Amino acid sequence: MKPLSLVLSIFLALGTSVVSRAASGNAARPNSVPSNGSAANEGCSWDISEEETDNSWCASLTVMCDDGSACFLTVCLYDPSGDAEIIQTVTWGCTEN
Amino acid sequence: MKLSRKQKLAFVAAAVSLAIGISAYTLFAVAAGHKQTSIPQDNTTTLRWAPHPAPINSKDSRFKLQLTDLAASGDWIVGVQPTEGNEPETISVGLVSWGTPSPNETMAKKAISAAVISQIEDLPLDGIQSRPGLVTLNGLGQLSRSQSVVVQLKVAPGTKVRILNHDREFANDAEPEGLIIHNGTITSGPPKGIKSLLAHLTRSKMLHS
Repeated sequence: MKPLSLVLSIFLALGTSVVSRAASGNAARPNSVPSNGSAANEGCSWDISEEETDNSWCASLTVMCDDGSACFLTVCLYDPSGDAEIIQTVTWGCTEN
Repeated sequence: MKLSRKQKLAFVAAAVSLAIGISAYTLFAVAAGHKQTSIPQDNTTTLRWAPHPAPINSKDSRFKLQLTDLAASGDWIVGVQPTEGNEPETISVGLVSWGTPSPNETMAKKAISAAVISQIEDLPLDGIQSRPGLVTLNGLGQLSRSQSVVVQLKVAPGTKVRILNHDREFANDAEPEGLIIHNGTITSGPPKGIKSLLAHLTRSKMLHS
């Protein structure tokens, strides 16, 4: 009886593990960024765009990588009341495969 | 070997569990292989700075700005703008600190290390020595390599401005629309307020970080 219980336990554990991994989405997601920091730029291209009005200035830096992942960094400066106050907003984010 | 009813049920339960697991795994794997899974990680920070302009006076349509103790390699930008109407002549001086936008691991791995402004503060008023036709900025020797000094001069239209940084002197003919001088180089276009100066600095950091 003991060997049979062991087999049943292994089956149950395997099933639970596979369901858990699949549900988390990690099973099929490839590593979208190089693990080696020194090669971080390989396979990626850059783009910078700017836009300025009387009361605002924005610059966006976008990095697109061959693996489909991308990151952006947008910096905006505002002076809604002339030079009385300068406001900077910085927004960044990434999407991964 | 003969199994009891209880054991048979347990065996079936285990087999069903494994089958469901394998099916789910396959489904997720196929789906991920054909469709991009987007995981946006948006973040925003906001920084505010209210400059405190100090009064100045040009003399005989001339004005000299001395960046006395700023290191020769220090990063500085000066914007000269003509006053409008009865607007007084002023100087605003900000000390800009630079930092990375976030310790975001993913961005760091993609080498997005462009510096952005992490802090701006006024140069203390006692660091601005002023007399007619001349302003000397003191205390700039404390600036680190990750800091810049931004100066906005508002002077009467037609005023000729000279800037002294150590032994170097930067002069310009009076520009009716004003101008921006970054580390001694006159850049294109008149400034549209302090925002334009900070934009120029930010652009240089984004492109050269």
